[in-house]
This record gives sequence, structure tokens and C-alpha cells, in this order.
Amino acid sequence: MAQASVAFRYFDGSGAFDCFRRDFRLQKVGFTRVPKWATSVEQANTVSVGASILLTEVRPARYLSREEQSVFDAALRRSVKVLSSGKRQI
Amino acid sequence: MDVEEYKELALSNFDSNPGAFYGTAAGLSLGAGLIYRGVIFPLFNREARLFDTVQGFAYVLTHECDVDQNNDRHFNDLVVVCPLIPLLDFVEEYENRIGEADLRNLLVSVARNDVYRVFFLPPPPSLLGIFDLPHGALMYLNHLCSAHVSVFADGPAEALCALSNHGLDRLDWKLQNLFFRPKAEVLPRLT
Repeated sequence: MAQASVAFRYFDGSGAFDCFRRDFRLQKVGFTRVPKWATSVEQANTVSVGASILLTEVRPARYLSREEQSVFDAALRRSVKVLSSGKRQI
Repeated sequence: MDVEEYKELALSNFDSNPGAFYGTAAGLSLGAGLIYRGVIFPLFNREARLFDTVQGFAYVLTHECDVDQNNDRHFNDLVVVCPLIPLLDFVEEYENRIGEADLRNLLVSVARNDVYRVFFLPPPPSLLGIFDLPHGALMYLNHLCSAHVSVFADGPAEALCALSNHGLDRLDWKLQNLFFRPKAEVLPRLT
């Protein structure tokens, strides 16, 4: 699939635009059937059709080691109050 | 390093605007981007290999329309939540078990959103009168689970704050990237 570096502006919520250049991979080009959010049966059967381009951003992923994953479990357990502990039913 | 320094490290690498991330929860309904304390949810106990019932911080993902109790609908009794891990608890656990250098490295990656499964929530502003989660929190996105609406209505859960439209945009993007990215393996092609 084609990959390209695309410059774009993103409204960052503070009233200003941030500018980025990021890599995207072209996944799919085609027509899309867009369902409208329905408040009635009649509307639920209404669809609009449009062209679509699906891009996914290409970013370096940082994977978690098994040891790191177990830290997430232990840290969450440290932060909660245990109300009841599961007992095995035989 | 203390937790304040780790918080600053994460914020300085955060790929979004932390000051525009939250708003008040006042007037907002369950499911409208709210963060709660006191939510009851299941947590897997590795030793017992069973689920414990625990109470802690969580973000509610379910759309508010789907759990509006004024609507006489089926399937509006459960909400999908993501438990929050306070940064303080994470730092203490990680530093003791793995060490400072790796923790610095991980927090930078998480704040930059280079870790698909984890989302950094910046600390809610004290200007909103919120003093929970003073260093922020981590969302481990593969830990989504269900909670019952009664926990929120008259139960122990209490809304702390809401994500802003900007905060929700970032979290939605993260969830979409994790759960809806194209499968790596070729699926059976049926026509």
C-alpha cells in the first residue's frame, strides 16, 4: 500500500492550530454507505453514499514487556479498594 | 525522581494540550465523557484466577443516550468503563520493580501516544476544585469492563470532571487506533 508523509493542521482546543507532518498509509479507497443516526425506523433505512479514503497513521509503536504489563495490574490493584474476593465454587 | 518530576516529564512530552482536556461535570449525565471515583468493577486476581470486585477511579465510555434511564429501553443497565491507574501508584510500583530509567522511557512513550494500549490522562485542573488524581492517571485500554448503572445513580460513584471536546477527540482517536485498526492477518473472504 502507498505511504506518504502528509502535512496537516490540527485545531488543538486552545484556540490555535498546531501543524504536524506525519506518515500515513493508504488502506482503502472506495464508496461508503453512511448510516444516519436514526430516531425513527424511516430514518434508519435512509443512507447516504460518499467517496472515502481510509488512511492510517504510521507511528513507531512502543510495546510493553510482560514485566511491564504486570506492573499495570499491580498498580491498579494498589489503587483500588477490594470489596469482595472471588471464591471458587465447586 | 519523585512523582512530581515524572508528571512533569509526561506533560512535557504529552502530544496534546493538557490545559484544554477537562471541564466541569456539573449538569452532565452518565456517559457524557465523565470521570468518576468510587466505581465498582471487576479486577482479575491472578493468584485465585477469579475476578475480585473492587472500587476505584474509572472513565465511562458508553454513550449517555444508551443508558438514559428515562428511556424505556432494553439493555441500558450496564456501562463500559475503563479503570484509571493513578500515576502515583504506577510510579511507585514500576520504580520498585523495574527502575527509574525504564520508567522515564515508558512515560515518555505513553505521553507521546507511542504505546497503543495505554493512554495518559493529564491531571485534572485544581481550578475545577478537583484534587483527586493530582499527578494524572493511566488508562490501560485492554482493561475495559462493565459496571452497573445503579453504582452511579444512587451508588457510591461520584463524578469528578468531564473530558472536554478536545480531550474526548484524543481519547476517541486512541480507542479507534487500538480497536479498529485493520487486522494484520487475512480474514476469510466471504461474498
